[in-house]
Amino acid sequence: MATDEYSPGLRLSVLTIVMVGLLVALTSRLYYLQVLTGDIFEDLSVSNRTTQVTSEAPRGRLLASDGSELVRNRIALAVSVERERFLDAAGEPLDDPAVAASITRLAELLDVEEVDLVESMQSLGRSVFRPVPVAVDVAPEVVFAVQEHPELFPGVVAERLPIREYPQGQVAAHLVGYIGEIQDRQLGTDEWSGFDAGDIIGQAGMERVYDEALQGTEGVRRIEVNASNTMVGELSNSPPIRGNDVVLTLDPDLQSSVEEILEDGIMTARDEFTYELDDESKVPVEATGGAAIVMDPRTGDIKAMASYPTFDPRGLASGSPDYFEYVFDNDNVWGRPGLNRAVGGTYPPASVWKIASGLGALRDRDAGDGRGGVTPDTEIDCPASLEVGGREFNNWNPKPEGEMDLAQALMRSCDTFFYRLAADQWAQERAQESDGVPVDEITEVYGDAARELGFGDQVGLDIPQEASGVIPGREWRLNYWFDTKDLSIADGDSINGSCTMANDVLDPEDENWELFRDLCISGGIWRGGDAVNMSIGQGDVLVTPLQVATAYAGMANRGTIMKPKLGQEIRDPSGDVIEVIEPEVLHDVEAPDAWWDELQQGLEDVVMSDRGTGRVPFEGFPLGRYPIAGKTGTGQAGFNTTEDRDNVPFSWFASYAPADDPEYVVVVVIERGGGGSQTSAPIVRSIYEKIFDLKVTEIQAGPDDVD
Amino acid sequence: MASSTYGDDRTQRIMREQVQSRWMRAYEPIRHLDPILVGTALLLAGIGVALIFSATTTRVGQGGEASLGFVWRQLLALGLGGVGMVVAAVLDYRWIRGLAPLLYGVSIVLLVVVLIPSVGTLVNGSRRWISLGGFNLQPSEIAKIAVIIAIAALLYERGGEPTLGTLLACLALAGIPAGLIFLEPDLGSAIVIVWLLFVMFLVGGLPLRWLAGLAVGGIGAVAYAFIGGFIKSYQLERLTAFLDQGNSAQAGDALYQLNQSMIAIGSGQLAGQGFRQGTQNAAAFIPENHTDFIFTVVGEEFGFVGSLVLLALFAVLMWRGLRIAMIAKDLFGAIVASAIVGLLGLQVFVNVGMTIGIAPITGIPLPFVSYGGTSLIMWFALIGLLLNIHMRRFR
Repeated sequence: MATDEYSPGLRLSVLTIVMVGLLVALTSRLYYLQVLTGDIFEDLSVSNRTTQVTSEAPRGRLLASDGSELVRNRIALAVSVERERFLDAAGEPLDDPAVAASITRLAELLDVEEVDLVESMQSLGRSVFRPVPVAVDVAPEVVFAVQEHPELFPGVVAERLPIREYPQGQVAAHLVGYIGEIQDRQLGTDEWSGFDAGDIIGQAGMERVYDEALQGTEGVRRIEVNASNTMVGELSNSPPIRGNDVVLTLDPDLQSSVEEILEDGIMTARDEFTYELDDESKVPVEATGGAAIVMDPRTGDIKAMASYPTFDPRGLASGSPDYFEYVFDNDNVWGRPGLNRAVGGTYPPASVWKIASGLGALRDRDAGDGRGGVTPDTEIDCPASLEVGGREFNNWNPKPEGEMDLAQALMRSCDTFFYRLAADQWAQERAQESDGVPVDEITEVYGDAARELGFGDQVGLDIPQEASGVIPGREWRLNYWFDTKDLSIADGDSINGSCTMANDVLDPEDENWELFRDLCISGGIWRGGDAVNMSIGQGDVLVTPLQVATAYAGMANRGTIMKPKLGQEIRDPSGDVIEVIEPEVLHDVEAPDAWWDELQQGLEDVVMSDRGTGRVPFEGFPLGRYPIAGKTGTGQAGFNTTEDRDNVPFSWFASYAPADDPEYVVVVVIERGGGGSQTSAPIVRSIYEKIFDLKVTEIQAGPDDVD
Repeated sequence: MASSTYGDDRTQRIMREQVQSRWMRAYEPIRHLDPILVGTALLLAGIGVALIFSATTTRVGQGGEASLGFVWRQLLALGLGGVGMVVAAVLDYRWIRGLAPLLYGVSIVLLVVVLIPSVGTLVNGSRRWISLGGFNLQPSEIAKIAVIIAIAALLYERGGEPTLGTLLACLALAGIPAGLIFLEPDLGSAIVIVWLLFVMFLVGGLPLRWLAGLAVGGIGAVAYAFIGGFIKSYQLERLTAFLDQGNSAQAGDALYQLNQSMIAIGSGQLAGQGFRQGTQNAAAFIPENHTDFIFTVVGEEFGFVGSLVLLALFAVLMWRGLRIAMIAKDLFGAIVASAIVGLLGLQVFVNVGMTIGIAPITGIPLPFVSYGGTSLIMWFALIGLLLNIHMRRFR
């Protein structure tokens, strides 16, 4: 076979086809990438090389009603690090001796442990382009050291950061609240949609409620970067816009005075007061805490609101974990300074509740068959005690006081007067129950009257964490019993865990066994004793000081209950008002004038009649010029307890003045403070002296043996 | 007077000799250059220099004077390539055929030498270059030429009817350099050698059933290499990155490179961003954009149109090469020419294909265009060889 006979022609065609195929494959793929989907890649290339750097906008200020600053911003010198120069993508320090050396140098300069320094670098920022502050409020020398020796501190920058500052110190600490980084559980919720990790938001108080107004518009700088994330140019830059100022209704002068008076009153009570128990032994008043509210009944404006113990918002702004623990320690009765007792504390209202019972009694006669309740003229006996369902219920006064009308019953704070009304009403309701009327269809006039005045639900103050309180009744009792009867307990409470007690804890031989067995079986029944206790604000009734203030403001307004508020207006950074927070009516209590006259008479007599329970503490007060209407309250709350402290009642005084044309509602409650006129009334008197610019008298104990 | 019309005998003889010599000179090799082939090759190399200029001097955000070092070195290599082309064209390819054993021997020695740690330069974990005072020699490029010539010579001797012995000899001739290159490791170049073997078997007249058997065996060998763990994980990652583009979370640097490359090329769209206007190129998003990934500069700055022009130029080279294979005077020339075409086609496909996600990422440069002296000189030498075969198709 000669060489020339073989011709590769055909085989070369195969090779040609293969080559053409390869080129066609490349061309079609290029057509797809560049022509069909080119615009997508164009977008990708733009996002590849541009990035946004945001800068925090200064928050707006919180101002008192006179325009003085409660919270403002201050510029702090800070040392920050560019995260990617020190940490890898996983947040661990880069494995590079140069990085380790500069961490050592920086730790030495800032006088912190290296471990702590790395930890503060690891806290997440919103953008890798925004440096992470590792030290705030550093000395100017530190800033100079960083700026003058960039070669020693690569990736370290000196910054000026806006920091919250409180020119009036601790004043209104519970109200202004504090700010902090958005927390994991807040991220992605509806309330905080549009916020990212690392954003600073209001975490409590006004800072939180008016966060939207206070947040400015953050500055956005769009920059062009190369593959190693080095900036190569600026595309656009919109500077940050400061947030709006929020003006509060608070009178700063009155606010700080009320805080001082409350603290002074509590300190005096702790040092000097004693309380006489039923067995005639005297125990010291420990006054674990308290609250005071001054409100304008015409608008609902909160003029002052104090809660004791208090805290320093600067401590929270500093982010110290120890201080956080101190402020929010829930386990210590002396502690929990973070709780705003004026809105978040719930207490048995005792006799300040009697305006609700009075309104209920008037409604009962008006709406019912004409047998229950009272008219403004009805007189009822006020014995030393009354038997209801086989149990004796005592008046606070061991002597019988004779026949009296509603106004006198309020003045004397007569318990048995209300016991009788409540017991009769309960008997009627009980009869309906026996006839088979379902629990939720039985009209509970006394509970409804309390609801009319705003008890039993949040009254809607513009501050977070307002408590609802409790208005007990048939439905409530049934649910409560069902929910609690099987709870495990350490020692027996009135109804909690009654079945546990009867079945597991107590021996059937035990003297209390039958009681717990009965409670276990029939504790869901609303008994006469429950209704009687409720009528004087004891038993299961719980209210917040704010609810009491709101109800008394409604009383002062003769039925028009204003929704309490702390916000007054919002101003833009140039000082122009952009939003006025208008007063709102929470509820209008429809009632004839004669009723208001009767209730008002009773409250005026408490303070201004010689026989009033609140008379003694206002001895010497110019009641002629500044007539005061008010009500004492002494809330018992304690059961089978060995602690003396727990036998000392909650001391209440709720009031408004001037009684003929009310401008101020003042409410004070002192936890474990003793009698209403003993501890709270003198504090209220001091507050009025401040309000009306009178000579402030020293706080003295009122009588501890009247309600 | 008639004689004066046609001249005397001497005159006639001179005229006849003149006609004869003119006829003879028509077959002089120098008169049968292929200007289209040479022109296209030079045009591609010129485009390459311009692209290297764009890739190495267009930088944003970096201080200092842009260095023209890459451009100058590529121009120098182009000059050397011209010399190489002339040398490869002037020597009769049949004489070169005689040199096959020597050339093959030298290339094997170089492939062994480059593996010696003190000689081969270690770059990115592999030893592919021998540093010769400022110039880096890549033995695998020389080995490609050596393998082409050696196997073509062997197949030529069998005259289109290779025996089983020929087949085994060819396998050995290709296997030794391919194995040494695999050890560097340079998986891409090793695969190129195998591909060359196939192309030459095809054109050299190997029975089709043998070819089919070899294909099956080859696939089996590749599968064994993967399963047996002979392929290192980073190689596997680079090779398979283009297969899981949708799965960017778990892919590493290779996929990053591929994504950046596709973004650059895609963003060129129809007409491109303009010379030295490519932002991805300028912002250094694509590593190796002057060498293996130089096609990204074409795609981004000249768009679909520019990419087509470049591919068309390669198509012209292949067309000329295949034409030369068709008209070659002997089987040796045909096999060498078609091997060169096959090498060109594969390198273009693999190189461009890897930047657009249809071929594995291997370190194969774009012929004539990528920065790199050895490659450029080798390709001009191969163009010289093609010219050589073309010129001597008559004698």
